[in-house]
Amino acid sequence: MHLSTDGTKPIYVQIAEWIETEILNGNFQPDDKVFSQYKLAEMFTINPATAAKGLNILTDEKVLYGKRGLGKFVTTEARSIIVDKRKNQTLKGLILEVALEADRLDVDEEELIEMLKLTMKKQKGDV
Amino acid sequence: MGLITCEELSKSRGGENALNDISFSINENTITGLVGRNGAGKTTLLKILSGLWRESSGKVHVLEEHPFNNLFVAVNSIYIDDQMVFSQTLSLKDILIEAERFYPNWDRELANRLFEYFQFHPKQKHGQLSKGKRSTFHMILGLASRCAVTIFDETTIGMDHAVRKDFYRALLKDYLTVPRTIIISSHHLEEIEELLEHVLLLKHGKKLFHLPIDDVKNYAIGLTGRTEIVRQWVKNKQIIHMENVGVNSSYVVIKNDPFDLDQARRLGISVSPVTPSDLCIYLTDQEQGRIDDVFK
Amino acid sequence: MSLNSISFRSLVYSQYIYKLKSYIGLFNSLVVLQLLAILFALGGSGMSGTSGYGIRIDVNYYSADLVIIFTILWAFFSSILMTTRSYQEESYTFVTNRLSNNLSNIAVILTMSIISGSTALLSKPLMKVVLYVIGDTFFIEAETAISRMDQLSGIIATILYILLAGSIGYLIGTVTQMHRLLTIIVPVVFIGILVAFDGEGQFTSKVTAFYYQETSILLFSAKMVVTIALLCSAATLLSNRKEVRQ
Repeated sequence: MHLSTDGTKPIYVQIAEWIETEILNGNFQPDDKVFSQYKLAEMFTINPATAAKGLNILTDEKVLYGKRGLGKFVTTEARSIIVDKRKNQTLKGLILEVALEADRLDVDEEELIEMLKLTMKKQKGDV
Repeated sequence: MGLITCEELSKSRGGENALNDISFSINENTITGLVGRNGAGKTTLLKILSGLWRESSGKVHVLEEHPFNNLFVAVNSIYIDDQMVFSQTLSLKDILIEAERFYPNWDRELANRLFEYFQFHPKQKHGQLSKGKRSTFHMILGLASRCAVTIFDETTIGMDHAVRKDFYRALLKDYLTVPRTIIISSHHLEEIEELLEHVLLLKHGKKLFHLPIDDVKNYAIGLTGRTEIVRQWVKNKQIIHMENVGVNSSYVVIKNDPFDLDQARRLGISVSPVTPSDLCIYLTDQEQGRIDDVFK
Repeated sequence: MSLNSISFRSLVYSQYIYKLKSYIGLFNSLVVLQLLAILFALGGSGMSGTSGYGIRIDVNYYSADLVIIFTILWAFFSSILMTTRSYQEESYTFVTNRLSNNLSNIAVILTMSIISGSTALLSKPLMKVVLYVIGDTFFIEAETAISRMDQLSGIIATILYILLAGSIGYLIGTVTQMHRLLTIIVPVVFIGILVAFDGEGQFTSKVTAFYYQETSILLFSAKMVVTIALLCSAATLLSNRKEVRQ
């Protein structure tokens, strides 16, 4: 993964999201140990404090849990938490953007929903 | 108390206040970026911290000691810039051998590996190196000395992009192996921001802020939209920067606060983050006019 | 990160070795100068000749004084050079404080004096050999039957003179480095005072008498060592607050 440095997203959020994606993809299973802040710092050439911040967000959200002196591990309910969060935050945010852009372009609700349906169909390979 | 602390530190040079009442504290084993325009006082500050120059007033402590003319600070710190002078009679390898005798933590293997990686010839003379090569060589000295306080003052001058990237990566990897307190001053904040834990911004010898990098990223937001709408919306807010884009649109940077940004968006204002690098440019802009005014 | 402390003595020693290596160019110039001086001296400093009874005798005077004079001047200017900016910048690249820098500089000047003094004195036997090889010459020594003690005194005195020149140069260099204008002010004031107030050379002759005409080598050495120590201490004190790597 390459970190985007255009300032749209803080690095620590990108780190947290990267770990979340790894968990969603099944690369980290519950009770697996995730990378340490130093390993992450080395992997992405970032300050270890920034990496630690990314890990701490996930710990606060109960995606990870810490074992004293051993590192951070994936919780059993990590997957569902991530899915939930992405639905509620990321997806909602994206939809807001879409709604605003549609408004600027005078695209009405029906047309927008049509476009959405079409995209989803394409994604599934129906068209 | 931090590893490096300054209280009301001032320094006058040539009748001007190169540093004016600066107070800050840097914790042990952190990487701090020192930024500011040319002449903001970065080098003055770093030379005082290294014990090369004397402060005019205020207090300065490095490793709990007063740095000027202090051997303990000298042996545990290194100041690297692009002006380092070496005898014409010493080869690059000789310089590395000499450096090793001065710095107790010197890592010979690291020095030799970097030396080979960057394709130096042992018999080359320092004076024969190109600007970029010289900077690269100084960087090797800075890393291999493994001093508790390591200061890089504009060390990437003349390095090409690939070497700069290598340098940042080498710096970070070595920092992970042997954590130490590092200060980097640079004009390329966008290149180094990921390495940093804190940013210290100077302007005309004064401290503008000393903040964690994430706070710098959230420090301000940029608003773009129709001039009258944007100007109306930013009223009573702390404006950092304002410029016209296109015909009747404006780009305004304001200090971040928990604003109702959705309201702004509904008014057709697009909200964008402000990169630390841009923020520092806006904050340190000259008060009187912009470059465009010169050409009027 | 482990913090280190360093013993002052070992630091001065490290700097001393570093400087000897890096100032090797100064020693190269010494070799050139001494060879040049020997070349000039081989021309002879005086000559007289007689002839009679079918024999012709040419008496040539040779002296290695020129070598010593060149060496003294070399020490003076080399020491000034050591206080100039690029030499100072180089000294402060690695671990240093002002005192250790000055002490290692003085140690270098001392080493320079001992080496250059010895080679200057060795130029005399060298000249003899050269003269012996190139012409059919019979040597008559100016000083007849020099005792070991006198030889030793000669060596010590030569070295001390060179060291004195070095110390004077070092102090002058240090003073003039403090401000650019002092480069002009110091020599003008010094020469001006000598010309204006010492027209008859009373002061100069008193100074000469104090050092040069001292007959006891012990007293002479003591006077010189004290003077040199004063000069070096003055230079050290003056530069102890100096800001470096400008």
